[in-house]
Amino acid sequence: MRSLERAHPLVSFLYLVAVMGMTVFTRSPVLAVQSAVGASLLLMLSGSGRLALMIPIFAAASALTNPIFSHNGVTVLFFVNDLPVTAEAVVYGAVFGTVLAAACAWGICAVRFVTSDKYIWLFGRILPSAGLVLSCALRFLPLLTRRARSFAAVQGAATLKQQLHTFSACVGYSAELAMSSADSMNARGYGSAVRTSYSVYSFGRRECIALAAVILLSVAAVVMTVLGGGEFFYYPALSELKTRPADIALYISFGALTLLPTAVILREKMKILNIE
Amino acid sequence: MNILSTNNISFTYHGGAAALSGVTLDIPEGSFVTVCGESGCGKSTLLRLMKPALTPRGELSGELFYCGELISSLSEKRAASEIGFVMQDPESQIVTDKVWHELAFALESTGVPVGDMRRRVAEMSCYFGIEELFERDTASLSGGQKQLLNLASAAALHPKLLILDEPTSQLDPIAAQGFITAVSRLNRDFGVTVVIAEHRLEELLHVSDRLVVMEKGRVIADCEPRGICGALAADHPMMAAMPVSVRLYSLGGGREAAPLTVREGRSDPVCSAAAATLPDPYPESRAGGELLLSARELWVSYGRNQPDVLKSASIDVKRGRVYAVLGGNGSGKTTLLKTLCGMIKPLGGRVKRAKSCACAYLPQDPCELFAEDTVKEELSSVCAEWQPTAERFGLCGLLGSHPYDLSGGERQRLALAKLMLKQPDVLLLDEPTKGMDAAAKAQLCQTLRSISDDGADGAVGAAVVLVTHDTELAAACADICGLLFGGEMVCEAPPSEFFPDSYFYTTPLCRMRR
Repeated sequence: MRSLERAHPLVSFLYLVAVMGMTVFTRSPVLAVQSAVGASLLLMLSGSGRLALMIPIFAAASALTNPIFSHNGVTVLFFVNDLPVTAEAVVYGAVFGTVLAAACAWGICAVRFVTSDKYIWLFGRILPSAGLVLSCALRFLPLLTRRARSFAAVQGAATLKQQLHTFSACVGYSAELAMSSADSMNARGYGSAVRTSYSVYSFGRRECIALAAVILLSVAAVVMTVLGGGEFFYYPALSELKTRPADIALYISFGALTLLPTAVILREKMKILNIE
Repeated sequence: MNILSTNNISFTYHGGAAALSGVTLDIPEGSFVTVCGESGCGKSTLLRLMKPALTPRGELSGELFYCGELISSLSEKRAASEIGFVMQDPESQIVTDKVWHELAFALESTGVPVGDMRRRVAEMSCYFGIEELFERDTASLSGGQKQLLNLASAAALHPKLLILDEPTSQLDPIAAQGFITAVSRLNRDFGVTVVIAEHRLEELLHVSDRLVVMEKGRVIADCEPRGICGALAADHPMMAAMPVSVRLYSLGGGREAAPLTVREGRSDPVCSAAAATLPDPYPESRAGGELLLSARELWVSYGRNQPDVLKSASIDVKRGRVYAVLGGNGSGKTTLLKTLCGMIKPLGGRVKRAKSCACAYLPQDPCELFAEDTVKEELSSVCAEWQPTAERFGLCGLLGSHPYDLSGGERQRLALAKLMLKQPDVLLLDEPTKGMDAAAKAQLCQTLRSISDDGADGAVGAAVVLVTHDTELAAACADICGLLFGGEMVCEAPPSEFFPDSYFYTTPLCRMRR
């Protein structure tokens, strides 16, 4: 876990882009399941296993509701009010729900492991001032929320109109205080020279290996998809799950990609066990 | 060599009165200069003129020199890195979300290369002992930690001159002491010249080389701290801001070498003689009338996995009395006030209220109470009969001003007036003397006594509960004091017993006498 929290921003960011991109754009049920399993394992290992339960729930809910809207498909299971409920629609719903839930689960992991300072590092490389703006915003928004709450509590506004009035007073006060933030930036030489950007992350051998693994696996997965691996059709009839070399290669590379963070955590846990 | 010198400078804000007139000061390199004076005496203006990026807009005559050069001719980068500035509010000076980023901010801005930056940031966090906070969110720090971070961030630029404008006025006494110690270490260890403006001089005077007293834009005293009694008359209003040993020495007729700490005061014959003869500052302790609020065994916590903030705290609030709650940071003082006025529901115990008992709560930052654009609207939004109250709180001259443009003391008066218009039975005040000068404190003290007294027109006095770190305020206005520790009211006594019996939570005068 610690090694994921401390992972280099570039590695974490690329990884998430690759996994989430593949998850969202895939049509293959195998990839959807792989992604869901990878995300659930990561959630469970990082102590929020309960959230992983949402994936089967989402999938089931979507499998049950999709036939209400979609009547395509040739395998009719039964009729409801003269409308056909097809196996294709049920399967498509289940896969769609899994994809959606898996993407959400990766999102939760992203919030957890790619913290604000990592985004700031990323954007600070490209545009130092954009990194700073992001950092200021991340500081200011919670501050404003807290201040608004305390204004509301102290002034005890009852009606909506009063509440809006209180909130506008709070925004006004924040603007007043922002003047002294601006003074403080000026006092510390903001804009007096070309900005440099501090970094708490270093890029060593470990980061090189991790980055290489992420790039290799995701490029392999993309190439295999382009070559036709993992092709799957739901309508009019479900196509067969193919096992050509391209498919197998795709499943292996994407599976490895989704299990990468789990492997890192497990390896770390083993090491900690050894120490203790 | 003078690092900074001002030659007969006068300054007028656009469309305002003169803020400074004819100020001439020479500040030698490596010195520690304390500037004091009542609110509005021009000390902030003087300090801001010394920092090119913060120079206020207005008419300036006379010259300011930095290391022999005109201060306006300094390059932006040099001015930023050689002159550090720390302001009053710890919160709004912080601009980024992480401690490490805040430390690096000034270095990033002045374009220090990354390798050099890493070393300087590491050095500063070791020097100020904030390594443990390095990866924390700035929002999670306490006020004292925030202000220390602001100091460290300014110090990371390796400034030659450090200017601090009332840096400890928003801090509790222990955090303030820690901050002053950090500043004086910078001065001692690296020879950084320090110019600091402050109301609270108790901890500051004995580390300063020079004391500059200002009044109405002029320098009225500029001497070594020990010589202050020779420069100011014993009955001068600024004497009230001096440490108790200096006040006593001056009252006893001493002139040449004022003792600056309690230790020096106790061994000084003039000072200890005056301490023995001075009457007690405690007002008559009133018994109080009707029981308005009675809280029994309150338990309060902010969440399932959070520690209990109040643990079995009990308090009785009676009409016509001022109750002062003292206690350290995190002892639950603010939580107690919020629970009493119903903003927080206790997990255990309950607050019993007398019938139709109205509570009014004044938060630490009085601005949280304001919602209008002028003082007049602020008052008239509460009730139509606001004029007598405005008069009573001395707000008549300020009716057209914006609440945010008032000084700390004036804001507090406006907030009090606004609350008093609602005619509350219980007035709950959270740290009301934060950022106030000595004169405003004395005035607040009188106001609180008069609010709790029965009026001549038959109005009954309210009950006042105040939470404070200011032992002198509590000694001068409370009828009963309570010490809150670990979420529990540890002891309760009238000031005449509370302060002489306490060792640490006591007034400096009591420490002189012990």
